[in-house]
Amino acid sequence: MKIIIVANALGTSLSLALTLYLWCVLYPVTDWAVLALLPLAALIFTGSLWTSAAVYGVCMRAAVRGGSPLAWLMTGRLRALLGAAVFTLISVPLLAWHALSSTYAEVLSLAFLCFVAPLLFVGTEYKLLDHLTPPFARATALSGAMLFAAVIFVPVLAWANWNFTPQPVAIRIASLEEALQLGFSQLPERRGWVAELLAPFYVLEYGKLWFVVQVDSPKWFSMWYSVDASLISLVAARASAILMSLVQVPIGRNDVANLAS
Amino acid sequence: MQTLLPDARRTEPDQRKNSSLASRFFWVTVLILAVATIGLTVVGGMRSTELPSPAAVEFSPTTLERLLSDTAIEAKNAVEPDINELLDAVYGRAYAAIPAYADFHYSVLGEYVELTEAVRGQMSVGLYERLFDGFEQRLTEAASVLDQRYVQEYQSNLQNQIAHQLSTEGVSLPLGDVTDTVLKDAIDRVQTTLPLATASAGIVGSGSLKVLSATIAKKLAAKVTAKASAKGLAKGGGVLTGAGGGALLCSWSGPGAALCGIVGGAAAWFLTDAVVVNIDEYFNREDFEAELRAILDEDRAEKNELLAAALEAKAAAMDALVDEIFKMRDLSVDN
Repeated sequence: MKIIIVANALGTSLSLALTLYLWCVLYPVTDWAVLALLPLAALIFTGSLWTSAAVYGVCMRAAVRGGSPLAWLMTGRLRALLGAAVFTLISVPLLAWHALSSTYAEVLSLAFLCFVAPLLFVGTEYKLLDHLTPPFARATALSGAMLFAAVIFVPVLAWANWNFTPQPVAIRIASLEEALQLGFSQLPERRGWVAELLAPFYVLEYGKLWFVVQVDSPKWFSMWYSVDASLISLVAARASAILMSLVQVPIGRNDVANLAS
Repeated sequence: MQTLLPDARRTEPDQRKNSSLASRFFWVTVLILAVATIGLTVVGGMRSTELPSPAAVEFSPTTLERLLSDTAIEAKNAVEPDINELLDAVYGRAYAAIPAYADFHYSVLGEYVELTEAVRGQMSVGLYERLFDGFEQRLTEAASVLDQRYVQEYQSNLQNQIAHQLSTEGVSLPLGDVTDTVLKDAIDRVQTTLPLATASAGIVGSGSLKVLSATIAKKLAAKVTAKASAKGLAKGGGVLTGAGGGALLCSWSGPGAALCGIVGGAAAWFLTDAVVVNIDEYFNREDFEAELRAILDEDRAEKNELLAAALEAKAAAMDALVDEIFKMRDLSVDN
């Protein structure tokens, strides 16, 4: 069973890595590269939806009185749909942009995180099934995996960004307008509708970098930028844990005992 | 929707069945992605083996550094003499407006307008409109033209440097990817690095022109009010004579003599003004125009220095950008 869990975790990491790799290779050539992100978006949406719907369904069943004519409406599914849609619409573009603008070291670190986070998810769920019913154990394990992964990887990624990630020296003497122009220059020359969607990420990133560089502040302040840059690990951890929840059946202590016997 | 969304009332075997379906879909997706990735890699590899890639030359980092540094400085040296020519166009209209302003200053109407403006503290506004109309826009355009000339000079200089370097090395191969990227990046960056329009916006925004107008206005206001005081003494007798003469001329009209007296007095007033103004113009006009030209010359020299400094800063920035990257930790060392 451990082998299956590890294989699933590896598959999760691969699904993220391959999707983003295809996107990075195809996007400089064509905007149709967006199609490469669709399977990932569908998987994240479905995983998030299933987990949320199970939890909200139980809550609404406890809350709605028996015989209520609105029972058919108040099932928690709409809320689950909206939550899954919002997370998918935020996480997929964010991961896609980060894949385009990251160094190899950062990409490898995130790939490793996407392998570790699912394992943390399974381990956390295993422990929580002793105390919570399956839907709640799963939902709590998702958040737990995200937080545990963040505690481990945010400091590592922040340190790596602070020490090794190259920044353009032009930002040190640029005005804000010039800094934003530098951000825009990272987009492919052909522009297109996808570039318009990605432009705000570059603008925000270079705006933050300009602010940190230009502000006359204590030495440690530049660390703030690196910590902020490493927060993508939260999104990546949650996304990979959600993918794992799709393929991994909830396994508690009783299930392990049954299997062993 | 019911089959797609899990339900807490559903039995565990149903949930396991859904999970199994999702798992299959998941692994099929991973397989498709893996096949697509491998396929792209193979196709890319085959294309690169089909066409023999021509050998390319890569410049060493020190050579690139030297090329870019020399280009930045040579472009600046080539463009710096243009600053004078551009400022000629900017200040030309201001210099040309001096005689017209002198005509205005040495007229009775002009004198009274300046006196009114001096009393109201708005003399610099009027002066600014008469001498420096459109100046700020001309200065901004001149800075923009200078910037464009620098960019063009930088780009053509860089091409020449590259051609010279290739001929020095005795090769006629295309540039390698890394060298090509660095050089293209430099050509792109010269457009956005410290544009001179920013420097001119700083000059305009600092209000130096308004300060200049205020300086000139202050000198003029002192002269105008002093002249008015001096004329007042001279006018006293003349106005009385004029009023008396007017009244005498119209004495036959009875009460109309008073009106004639007023008209006579006013005529004497303005006649005195005209005489004084003409005398003042005869003796002082040349000095007045020379003083205005001297003030403009001083301001032009200052703007020349500012633009030259901005050009120097841009060239220095392009030179500094040869060392292209820094890390966030370097900020804390410098801080």
